[in-house]
This record gives sequence, C-alpha cells and structure tokens, in this order.
Amino acid sequence: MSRWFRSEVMSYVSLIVNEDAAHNCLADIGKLGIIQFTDLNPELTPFQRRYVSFVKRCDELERMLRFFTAECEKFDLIIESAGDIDQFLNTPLDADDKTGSELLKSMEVELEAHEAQLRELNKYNEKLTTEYNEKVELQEVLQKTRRLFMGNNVPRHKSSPHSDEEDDYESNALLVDIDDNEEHETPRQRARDMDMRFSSITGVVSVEEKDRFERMIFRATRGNCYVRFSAIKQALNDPETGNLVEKCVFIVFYKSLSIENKLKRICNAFDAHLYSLPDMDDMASVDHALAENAQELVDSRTVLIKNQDTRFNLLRMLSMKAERWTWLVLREKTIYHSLNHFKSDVSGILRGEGWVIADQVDHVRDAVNRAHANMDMDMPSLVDFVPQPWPTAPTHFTTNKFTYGYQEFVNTYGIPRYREANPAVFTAATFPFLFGVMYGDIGHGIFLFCAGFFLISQEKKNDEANLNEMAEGLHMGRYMIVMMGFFAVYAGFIYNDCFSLGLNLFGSRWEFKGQEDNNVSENAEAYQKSDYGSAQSVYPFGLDPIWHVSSNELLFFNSFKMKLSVIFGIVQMFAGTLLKGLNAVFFQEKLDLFFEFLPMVAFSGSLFIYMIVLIVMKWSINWNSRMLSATCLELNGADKDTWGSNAYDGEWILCDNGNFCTPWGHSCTGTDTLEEKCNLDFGGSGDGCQPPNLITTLINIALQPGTVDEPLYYGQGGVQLVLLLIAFGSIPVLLLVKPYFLSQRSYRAVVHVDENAEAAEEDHEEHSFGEILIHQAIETIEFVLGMVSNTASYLRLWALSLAHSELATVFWDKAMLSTLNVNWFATYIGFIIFAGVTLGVLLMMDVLECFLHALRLHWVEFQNKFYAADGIRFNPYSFKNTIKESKT
Amino acid sequence: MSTVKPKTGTGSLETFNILHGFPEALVRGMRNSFLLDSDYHHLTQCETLEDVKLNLTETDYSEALADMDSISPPQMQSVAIQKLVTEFQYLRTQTIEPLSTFLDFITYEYMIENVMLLLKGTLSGRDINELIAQCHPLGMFKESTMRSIPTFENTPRGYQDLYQTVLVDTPVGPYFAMFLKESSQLMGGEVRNVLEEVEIEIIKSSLIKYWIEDFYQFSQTLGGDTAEIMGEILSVRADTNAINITLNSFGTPLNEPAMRTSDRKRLYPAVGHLYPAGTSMLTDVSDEDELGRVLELFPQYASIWNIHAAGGGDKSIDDAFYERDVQMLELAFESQMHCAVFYAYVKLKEQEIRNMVWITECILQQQKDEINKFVPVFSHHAPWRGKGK
Repeated sequence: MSRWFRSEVMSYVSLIVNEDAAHNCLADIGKLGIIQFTDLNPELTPFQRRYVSFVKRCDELERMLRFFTAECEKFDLIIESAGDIDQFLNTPLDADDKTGSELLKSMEVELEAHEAQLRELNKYNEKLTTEYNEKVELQEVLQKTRRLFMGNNVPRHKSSPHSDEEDDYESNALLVDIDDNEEHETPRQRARDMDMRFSSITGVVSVEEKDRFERMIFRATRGNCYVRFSAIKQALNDPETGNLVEKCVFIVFYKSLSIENKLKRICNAFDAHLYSLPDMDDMASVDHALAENAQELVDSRTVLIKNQDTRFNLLRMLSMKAERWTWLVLREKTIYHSLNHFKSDVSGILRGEGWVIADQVDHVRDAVNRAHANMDMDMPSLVDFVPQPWPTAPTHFTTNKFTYGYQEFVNTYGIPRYREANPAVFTAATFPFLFGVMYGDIGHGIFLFCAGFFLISQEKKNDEANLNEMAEGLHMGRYMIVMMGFFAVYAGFIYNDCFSLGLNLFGSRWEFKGQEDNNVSENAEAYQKSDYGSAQSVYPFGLDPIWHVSSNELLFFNSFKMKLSVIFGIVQMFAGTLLKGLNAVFFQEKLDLFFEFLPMVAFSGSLFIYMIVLIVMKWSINWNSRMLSATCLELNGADKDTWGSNAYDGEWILCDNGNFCTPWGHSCTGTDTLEEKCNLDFGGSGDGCQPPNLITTLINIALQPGTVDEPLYYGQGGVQLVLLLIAFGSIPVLLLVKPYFLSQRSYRAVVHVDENAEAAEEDHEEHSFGEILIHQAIETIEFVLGMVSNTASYLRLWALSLAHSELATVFWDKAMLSTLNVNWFATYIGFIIFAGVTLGVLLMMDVLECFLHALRLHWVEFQNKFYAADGIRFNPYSFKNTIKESKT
Repeated sequence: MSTVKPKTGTGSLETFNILHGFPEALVRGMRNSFLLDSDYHHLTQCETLEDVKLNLTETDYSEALADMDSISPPQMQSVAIQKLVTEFQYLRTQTIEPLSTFLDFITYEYMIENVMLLLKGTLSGRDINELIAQCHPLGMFKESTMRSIPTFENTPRGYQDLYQTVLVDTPVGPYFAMFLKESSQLMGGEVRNVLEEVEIEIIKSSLIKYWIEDFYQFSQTLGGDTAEIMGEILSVRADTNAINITLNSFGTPLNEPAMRTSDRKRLYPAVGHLYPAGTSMLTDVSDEDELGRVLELFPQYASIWNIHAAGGGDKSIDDAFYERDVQMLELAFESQMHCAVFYAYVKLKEQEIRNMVWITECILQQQKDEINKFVPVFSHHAPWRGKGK
C-alpha cells in the first residue's frame, strides 16, 4: 500500500565498467529494467559518440530485416511470432557468450548472405518473368493475328459476314474498309490474292494505356492507319513490381515509311513490346512458329516456377526467424544507444550515471560484478551512490494488473511529483464508486459487470495480441469496468432501480388502501404497515420500492440524491485537502502545513463540513415528535394520563385548561404562534419545532449572521457566527502569511550571499514578492471559490443519475409497456426497440457519459486540492519496453 | 485565355474554414516538419555525408532516409523531394474546388520545367530515362506522355506536332498554344518558322510568363485574403523574372536593339509591380548600369540590386531574391484563412531542400567557408526577425 501511495525511492548511482565488459554488463541490466541512464555527453551530436558505428550497423541490420518482411508480404507469408518477450530475454542466448561486436558480426554475415541470395533470386526472377512474358505475349500475338488473317479471307470474297466472335466481326468490317481504300488509290493494280499491300506492326501494350495509345497514333498519323486491339485474357506479372498488369495485343496497318518511324517512336514511348511475325500467308510457318513458341513457353514456365519455389522456401525460413532477429537487433541497438550515454574518463573504463530504484541497486551491482567476473577481470565494487542528483528524481510506481489501469489514468492528467501522494490509490476505489452513483441500475450494471468480466477472462489472450487503440484501452481498463459494473449494481440496489423498475425483494413497508383486492383508487394514499420509527417500518436495504409508484417519486429521489451528491463531494474534496496536509508533513513544508493546509481545513470545515452536519442532523431528528409537540390537540374526554399516541417522545402533560393542549402542557388559545407552542426554545420563528429549509439556512449563515429562522438545535445562531468568523478569518491567513515568510526567507538568503549588492538585489526581491503574492492570491481564490463551485459541480452525480433513470423509464414505458397490451407481434417489435435503445443509449452512450463525468470529478474537483502532477516519468533502460514499443 | 474561372471564391476569415479548414489544418501541422536552427547548425558541423544522414535521422526526414544505404546530394534531394510530393499529393486528395485547382496551378510550373528539360535534354542527345529521372515529380505526366515528348523533331514543325499530339492533353497545353499563336502572329502568320530561331530558354520564359499571368488571374478571382497575398507573391515573382530575364540577356542576341522590343519585351509578365511602367523601361535597358538606374525607381528592388551592384562573393542576386522570397512566404504561411499557405509550404520546403543540398555539396567538396551561405526557413536568426531577441 505504501508503495502505491508514494512513488519508489530513487537513488542516483554511477556505474564504472571496463570497456570490454560494458556490453555484456548492459545486456544483463537491460533485462531488469530498473535504471534510467543520464546522458553524460549532451554536448556531443549523435555522430560524434563513441558507439555510433555500432548503432549504424544495427540500423543496417534493421533495414535488411525490413526488406525481408516486405518480401515476405509479397508471398503473403506472415512473420511468425517469436513467442513471449520475457521468455526470449530470459533464455540464455548463445549470443550471451559473445562480445557485442562478435554478435553483430555473426548476424551481419548471416543476414547479408540471405539478402544477397534473395536479391539474386529476385533479379533472376525478374529476368525469367520478362522472358516468360515475352513468350506469352508472342504466343498471343501469333494466335490473334492468325485468327485475324484467317478471317480476312471471307470479306475479300465478299461472302456473307461470318462472325462467331466479336473480334472477327470487327475485323471483317476493317478489311472492307481497307479494301475500299485500296481501290481508291490503286484501283486496278490490286490483285485479289493474299498479298497484303499494307505494312503492319504488331505488339503488346497495357490495357490501361490503350486509349491514349490509340489516340496518340491517330493524331500522329492524322488517321492514316488502322489499329486493332484484342485483349489478352490472362493478366501478366510486371517483372519489376510484381503487380498484375492486363495487356492487349495490337496490330497497326499503315502505308508509308515515315508513318512507320512515327509508330515505332510512339510504341517506344508507351513501352509497347513489338513482335515481328512470320509471313502470314504461309500458314505452315505460322503454325510452326506457334508450336515452337509453345514449347519454349512450357520450358520457361518450368524454370520460373522453380525459381519461385526457391524464393518461397527461403522466405518461409526467413519469416520464421525474422522476429527473433529483430528483437536481437533491437536489444543490441538499445545497448549501444545506452552506452553512448556513458563517458570515458580514463581509457578502457566507461562511466555511466543514472537513476535506479533504490531497492534494486543490489541487482545492478550483481550484474556489473557478474559481467566482470565472466571476463576474468578483477575490479573493485563499481556501483557507487553519487550525491549530486540531476534535476529531480523520476517517478516510478510498482503496479499490478489492477492498479496499472488506474495509474495510467492518473498519469494521463500528469505524472505525480516524485514521492507525492498518489491519487491513483484513491481513484481505484472512488472512481468506480462515483460512476456507480451516476449509473446506478441493477440491470444495466450487471451487463457492464459481465462485459468487464469477459475482458478479464480474455486477459491472457489480449496480453499477447496486438490490439488496436480502442481495444487496448478496453483491455487496460478491464478491472475498472468490472468495478464500475459492481458499483453500478450496488447503487442500483440502493436506489432500488432495475431497468427503471423497483424490485420488491423484502416486501414493501407501505400499503395502499384496497391493495389486497386489487382495488386501489386514483390518488389513494399509502400508509405505513407498522409504526413510524419501529424496526419493522424500515426497508432492510436501499429504498422502498413503493417510491417508484408514488406520485412524489421524483421529489423524494431528487432530494435524496442531491444531498447524497453534496455529501460525497464534500467528503472527497476534504479528503483531498487532507492529502495536501499529508504531503506538507512528508516534505516537511511547515509553511504549507500551517498557513495553507490549516486555513484550508478551517475554511472548508466551518462552512462545508458543517453543511453535512446539518443535513445529517435534519435526517436524524424525529420531526414527527417535534412537530407534534407544537400542535394543539383537543382532549375530548380521552384518558388524562396517557392521552396521545406514542408518536411523541416526551412525557404527556396535561395543560392548565385541561382540554386544548400541546403534548407538553401548554394551554392553547387558538391564536398561539409556533414560538409559544414549541417547548424547545431554540429561537427564531420555528423555535426548533419546524423542519428547516436547509438551503435558506445555509444562505442565511452569510446573509444574516447570528440569526437562524428555523433552528435545529439550541444556540445554532451563535455557533454559525463563530464558524463564519473562522471561515473569513482563514482567508487572509491563506492569502498573506505564506508569501510574507517566503519573501523573508529569500531576503535573508540574499543578504547572506551577497552583502555588497544589497541595493541591487532589493529591486529583484520586491519583484519576486509581488510574484509570490499573485501566485498565492490565485491559489486562494481558486480554493475559496472552488469550494463553492466544486460542491455545486458534484451535483452532476444527481443530475446524471436522474437522467439515467428517466431515460430508462421512458424506454420502458414507450417501447415495452405500450406494446405489451397490443398483441404478441407488437410486443416482439417493442422488445427489439427496447433492447436496441437500451444497448445503444444506456449501455454505450450513458456509460461513456458517466465515465467522463466521473473522470472530471477526479481530475478537477478532487485532484486540484493537492495534486502537483509535475513529475518526470521513470523511463527505464529495458529491453522489454523497447521491444514492446517497436511492436506497436 | 485559359484562365479557369472558379465557381466560388475561397472566402476569407468567416467562410474559409467551411470548406478548406481541414487541408489548412493539415498544412499548418506540417510547419513542425521544417528543420530548426539547431538542425542546420548540426548539419553544418558534419564532416562526412554519413554524419549528415545520421543527423537527419533526428528530423522529419528520418523515415524517408531510413532505407538508403549510401547518401549523395542528388539522392538526398530526390528523396526529400519525393517526401514533399507525397505530402503535397496527400493534401491534394483532401481538397475540393476551388482549392484543388489552386494546388494544381502550383504543379503547372513544374510541368513546364519538365517539358523544357526533356526538350533541352534531347537536343544535347541525352538518354530519355536519365532525363525522366531528373524531372521534378510534382510536374510528372503519365510516363508514356513523358516519353513521347522527346520523340518529336527539333523543328518548328516538330513543336507544332508536339503540341498537337501530346501537350494538348496536358494542363500546360494552353500555354504552349498561346506561345505558338503569339509567335506566329509576330512572324506574320508563318507558323513554320516560329520556333526555328527561338531558343528553348525563351520558350520556357514565355510559358512561365503565361503561367504567372494565368495563376495571378485565377488567384484574384478567388478573392479574399488569397487574392491579396497570392497577388503580392506572384507580383514579386513576376518582377523577379523580369529582372532576371533582363540581366541574363546581356551578352546574348536577345540584348540586340531589334530583339529587345520584339522578343525580350514579350517575355516580361503582364503583372507585377514593374508592369507596365517598369517593364517598358526595362525594354530599353542595354547594360547593367542602365538596369540599375531603372531599378533605382523601385525601392523594393533597389536594395536587392545594390547587393548585386556591390559585387563581392558574399551574396549573389539570387540569394537576395531567395531571402526576400523566404521572408514573404513565411509571412504568408503564418497568416490564416487563405490558399497562399499551400503555395508557401511548397516553396519553403523547396528552399529547405535547396539548403540541404547546398550543405551536403559543401561538405562533399570540402568548401567549409561557403557552407553557411543558405537561407534557412523559419529561422530565429533571420535578419527580418530582429537580432538578439
């Protein structure tokens, strides 16, 4: 508990290690994660440091590993997990025996070999793919042109157009075109044979570029050529990127040489592969070329597949080892990075300094000694405490699974100052509790509890998995969610609220007239089953369910919840103020203790704690009896000794006139004031027999000091006057005393240090006094006004609780109740709506809302009373942290 | 004219954020990626390029440089530019009209430069792949378009074809068309001869001139602060071009009396502070002294000119222009609710890349004395920030 309340004690040590043993020594310490090294060479830029070449080599190794990972992704290989980090760190590695540079060397050799092999295979693959693609393209070109030219025969003889394919149909149209052209130009020369008078080039271009390619050709040749495209169905691998590219075969018919040049240039620009074809008239040679190419295609495919197999096997091997290697490299890099923070005062010896958790210094010492022992070097104790600590010690808390979430929660606001009271301890209890006060509902709470419980059951799995930000947050807050659920259920029982319905668990202590025969009339009043004040009249736990059906339900709940909120608020804030006192005692800040903490306690105690006292007092006074005592009763011939009910606590006394009396024996005249009828004599118009309006009473403490209209106890006016004086008196103390002493202190210090320059320093001192005073004035105003506004702020506990229960009521009434009486189908739909809005609005949005408000109450209202939050987080040199960070 | 007319302006203080708040927020966040004074200081202390790389790993460039095994100034430049382009394209995908057109306008300048680079490169017979590698990635067309550009002959006919077959599809086509049209009018309708005697540099200057004018018109139609700030930036840009064209023409045929009015005058942009009185005076300038006398009349350029006139290796006129640009662009970047911040971002990043290249080149050539001659961006020591602050 004390470890959670105040952060770990830190000591500043210096480590002296032999240069040769430094690597192994740090390799050991890194497993512990208990030391944070200070940079002893801040003046050196990164590249001037001692171990920069090693860091660079690690970077290089990391680059290779990234390359492997990228390659593995191309084959959809998943990098296999190297298991648990702790296990990795604690199993002795063969690497441990080696010195740092040996280890790096061996990894470099291994990885470089793999990289070279992989690069070679890739290069080879590129070449093979190019060749293979060429073969495929040639095959396609041959096939498609062959079909085109075969089809050409038909239109030449002007027979009926045959079109089994769209391709062919188009080509027919084309050839008719060409024929026409021909006839214009050389009408008679042209023989009807297979001789193509047009030159043509064929090739392959990617589908993406097709349109632009066509347009470009049209523009360049001014339409004096004819282009035909036909898509290749099978997409090809781009040799360089490995992406699939869709391509299509084209053939361009043209006439002149100048056009040919232009076309070739365009093809070049579009990266189109050109293929020369055998004479198309000679079917035999075409077929031969096709067959030959097909054979080559098969061969080259075999080689390509083989290459891919080799690559795949290599990568699979790499994918299994890659993560382990990455961790090793990270480890080495961290070591060298830390060694860069060391200073070499004497050659061969390195000195490092840093903060260590005080309890664990021995571990560090052990590690250092062990490393030297392994190297067979005799050196004296090498870990020493250094008296000169660097600015402030870092804050570190030992957390467990449960407290971790809350600690992070508090750290989000600000890291606690070194050794100051840690709000996380209190937050762990009050946060879920305040959440529960706002969210109080048995049904909804159970859902939340189950959700949290589910997260805890998945703990192991989630710990290892790489979760996204949202899931990670839920995982971190799993215990918080369970607690929130628990307190929501608890508060639900107190409010007796389950999906907005009351649970009659112990039997209501109230009854309506005619309730037994189900015949309660409208506006009927409920009466208590047993006597007021008796044990049977008290509902055993929480509120009586009868309130949920009474017409003054809201009035009652609001009054109850508002008072409860204010009480919780003031108690929590007062606890915060006490923590300030504890901090002052711990840090031995007498000024803070006597002139800040005590006035604060006086102020909040005299006004705000007193308010709680009044609330509780009003609750616990038997008003039935007091009011009865100031009521004139007619005897009407009742028994003169015991003539009343037992509602009056005192002794029944008969008055002088014997017939028209108050229970304590005052003779009523019919025009008596309450003051005369009441026997308490507390003063004011109520005189103690009238339940006071607390709000008016509280306001009048300040507005009409010394007088109380409706007192609760004797001498209330005087007590309140004293309290008011204490409260007002504490403000100037809070405001002025501390600055005065502070300025005195600094003045004296100045005089001691430099007596000659007194005049000069006076100016400076004047100035700083003003600053201190302004600072203190801000603190004072914040506290005094804050007490009022923060108390009001705690009313959100009531407001959110009200909102929650009202929403639940509306959903139940409108979605469920109104459909229950229609028919089964309406009920079915009604339930769907009810479940949907309950889930969406109450179980998600309202949870978030209450969460945020509870958070605010802690961060603002609670923590501003004592929490400095200007600490530095302890960031230990730890392999585990480094590896974990690299994962995300 | 090819000026695009935006349907609506970008609005100012009250309305800018409705449509363009997000990209502006993005670009403003990129303010953090600029190198700091301390980074520059570290860089200038480096002894080798390896050190430079190591130092840059502490900056925003670390990821971009991570996978490079060795480093050379051109490599580093291309990586840095690639990073800029990635960021720019990300911004571009987040924008809607009229801001997206504004961003496209920024790229047109680079397109013009790329086309000219390709044309010039083929004239000197260099390999097309090498040329494409040199092109600025912001001004890239489709690869096939890029490859087609040098396939045209270096004749007026060829340029005509180039326009008609390739450039007509590109955003800079209209500028090229305007150039061809104007040239042919000048030559009395003889399209054939237009380009024969015109050097590539003149084509480039003309295209840039059209671009500046077009961009100026466009940003004026956007209205609001954009019009004001971009108007100023582009005016100064136009003036800089006019002065540089005049300065560079000395000793070339362009400075001959006949050419001055016919050709050189045509290259002066029709916007800017010098236009029209200043540019008409510049038309008659024949040597540096006369140029100096003209610029005397314009206080904002007189000081820059004095730096040039004073000579000495300390600062060239280019540096002076750069320095003034950086100051202006920083101001543009720091103000809000306008589009000029995007332009400023690209240009400032360019300046930063120029600085990095300068530093690395100095290190490579062991020219330590020269190493501090760069214009840092968002520097606390900049002359206009007031020293000793």
